[in-house]
Amino acid sequence: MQLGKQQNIKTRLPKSFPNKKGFATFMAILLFQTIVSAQLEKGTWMVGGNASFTTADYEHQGTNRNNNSTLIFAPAVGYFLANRVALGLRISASNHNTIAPPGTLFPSTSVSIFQMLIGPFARYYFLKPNNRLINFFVEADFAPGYYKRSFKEYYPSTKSSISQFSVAAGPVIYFNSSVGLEFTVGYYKTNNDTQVYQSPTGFQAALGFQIHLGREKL
Amino acid sequence: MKKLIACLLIIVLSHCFADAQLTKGNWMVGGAAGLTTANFFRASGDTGRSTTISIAPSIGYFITMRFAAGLRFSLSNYHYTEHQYLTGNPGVGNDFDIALDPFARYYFLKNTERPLNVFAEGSVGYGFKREIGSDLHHILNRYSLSAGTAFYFNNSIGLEFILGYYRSTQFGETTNGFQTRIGFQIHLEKEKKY
Repeated sequence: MQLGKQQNIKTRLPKSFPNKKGFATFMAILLFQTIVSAQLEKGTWMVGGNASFTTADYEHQGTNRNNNSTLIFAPAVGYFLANRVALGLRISASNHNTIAPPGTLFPSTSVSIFQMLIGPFARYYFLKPNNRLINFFVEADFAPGYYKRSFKEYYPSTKSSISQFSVAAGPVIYFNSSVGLEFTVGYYKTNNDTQVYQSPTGFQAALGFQIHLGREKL
Repeated sequence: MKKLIACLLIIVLSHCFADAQLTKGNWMVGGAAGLTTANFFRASGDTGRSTTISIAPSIGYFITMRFAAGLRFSLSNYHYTEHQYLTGNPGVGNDFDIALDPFARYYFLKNTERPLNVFAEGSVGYGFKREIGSDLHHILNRYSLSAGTAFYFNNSIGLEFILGYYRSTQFGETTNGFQTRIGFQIHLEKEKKY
């Protein structure tokens, strides 16, 4: 595939798929036969992430009900500024609220924890996408943020500025021109200014999908 | 920058629509997995180290046109060791849970190059959980009913908006509530026979 040229390539799967061979064939197809071009050209977008809102009413033997609600908003979008070089933005925001009967959640009947990290990331793919099934990338990101824990009554709020830095690298296996399965291993470090917030540092391995959206040709 | 954002929105909403792969024999895949280690420090002065493993793949298969059935599997294990600052005591714990959720999904609109579709889904889950400080295994039962819309970027990728109700029981405790979710769903097309 020529860099800078958009192609509309469909996934090539064997004729027997998927009715006869089952899951083993499916995995073999994913790993060895679905060779298509990845969209790493300048002007392509990468998107990912998720968002959710969940409520939960807890009931134990008919009594002691708690009510929890959790909001998670974690989108990510990247843009290929040049072939194989992407720059983007990640947001990781969450709000968790717990309401409990008086006396069960001392000193308050309600506690809320809010956290948000937002920052840029940069990613570089090492191999030119010449119909390759696999590629390798390295990525770095930095995200400053904010943490707040507040009670409804009696107790002062806890606030802290936080930040997280991470570097990661790994291979990506392409299902087709839009979808890649990524394996990443990296290091991360979290800081905060008041130490009221737990500050973890460590290694992280992840497996997930990455979506590439090609720009439209005029 | 405005041009880039506008271009993205145009791409997403107007131009990149293609056939959704809702035909018999196609697959839906999704999920994620992770391993995280953490050296942590708490405001209380406690220090420690934790390891978290999570695996949550999902796979579905279109048994007939617009009707898919599949499995969601989830496994997580959290292990920590700590040194308590005030007492000087060491601490160790492990929290493990595993569950399998078969699901069925039906898309209401026919696959006629529509940029969006509407679906309903039901799932029933079964698993068990062991909490920190307990040697007992607790059985988990749960089910969910949900509905949503899917916007298709191309013939592989859909962005889903889902609203549903769920109910689960474990440790003699019942949990129920509503859930909304936005996420990507990946469709893999079987090869066409020529």
